[in-house]
Amino acid sequence: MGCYHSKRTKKTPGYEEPTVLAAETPCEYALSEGSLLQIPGFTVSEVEALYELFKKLSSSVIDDGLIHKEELQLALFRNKNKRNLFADRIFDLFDVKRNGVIEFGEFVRSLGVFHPYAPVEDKIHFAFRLYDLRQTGFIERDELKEMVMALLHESDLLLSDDFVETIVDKTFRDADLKGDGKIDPDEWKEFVSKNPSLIKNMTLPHLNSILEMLEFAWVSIQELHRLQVNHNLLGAAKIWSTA
Amino acid sequence: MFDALQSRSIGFNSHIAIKKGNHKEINFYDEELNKADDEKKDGELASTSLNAFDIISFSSGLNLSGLFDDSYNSVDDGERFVSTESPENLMKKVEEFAKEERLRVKRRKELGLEMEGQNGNLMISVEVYRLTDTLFVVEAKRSGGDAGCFKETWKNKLKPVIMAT
Repeated sequence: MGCYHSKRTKKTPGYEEPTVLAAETPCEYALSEGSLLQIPGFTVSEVEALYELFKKLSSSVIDDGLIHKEELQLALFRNKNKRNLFADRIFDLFDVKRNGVIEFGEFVRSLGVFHPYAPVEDKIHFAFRLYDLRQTGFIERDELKEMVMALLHESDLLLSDDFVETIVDKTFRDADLKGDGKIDPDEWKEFVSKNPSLIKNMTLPHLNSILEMLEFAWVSIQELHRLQVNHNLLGAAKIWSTA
Repeated sequence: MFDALQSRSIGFNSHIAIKKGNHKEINFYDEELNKADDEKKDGELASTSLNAFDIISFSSGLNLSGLFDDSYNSVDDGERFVSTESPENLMKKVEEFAKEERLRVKRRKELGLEMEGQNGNLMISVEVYRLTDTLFVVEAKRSGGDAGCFKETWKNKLKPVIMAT
């Protein structure tokens, strides 16, 4: 029910139908682990709202319907030329096909991990891949130090090299339980369970309500009827239209 | 239901949303972190200190809220610096500042607070993190409200107070 009629406007490259993406965000993760739990992910209308955001981001520097690294930098730092190690990592993880651009489907699927209802295991694993700079399957000590140095460089924090060494040593001792000089995914999971704030960046707390507001800002009464399946607004819409 | 949504609306400056009148900015930041802090066990001294990954997560490159909020600016909306002053002293200074400027303290933690003033135009959150027993990171962030208000108040009023010995 709720017939979805596609808009006849030109779509960006790599565009995928909202109904397909809605079905595949967070729910996909649950099924791949063998469980049949239906975890709520993005609704169809939320994916449509994300498309509006995507169009805006992907046209900000090069108007080709694809998010380039400069456009991500512009969105995050208000400066398209600002280089940043962590933004680079985010870009690489979002660019699943590794073709140098983020397409709409990749955008939605990756953002799905940041949804408040996304499985915690997915957030933990995404963070692990983020910090595994050279994608060796482990977080090595020199990668950790490189990231700390990158953060100090980016911010106003001034800490001596000795101090950085001390903090990296201690963190590694706490996390590298097997003592083999690197943090593997299991050790990372264990470490995060003791320090849950480590994945706070992996949730955008108001993502679902932000998207709700994006929908409502431009929706018409006709579209309210169409959205009835997701939001049961028909009653509200009728009241609104007769007011 | 529509009214409830309207009162939660955000003012975007972009073309993709219509600005609703009479809105209040949503606090994008820190809700998850505050929950985690509250749940930390008291006896674990080690876990109240920042580890290397905590430091890394300060990066604005890892804060995707900026994708959704046009008014958010990682450069102007916050600052972090290292301090050797005791966190208790620092928090006292901040509390006194709030009192003098007649700001309402919205949320209070052991080493942090969030205050609001000027009819919701000014929203500042200040938090102190422990690096070691003698070294602390002070973080001041705009947690909502107007960016100009925050910048002006932080640079000209609150920051000098905190940095004064």
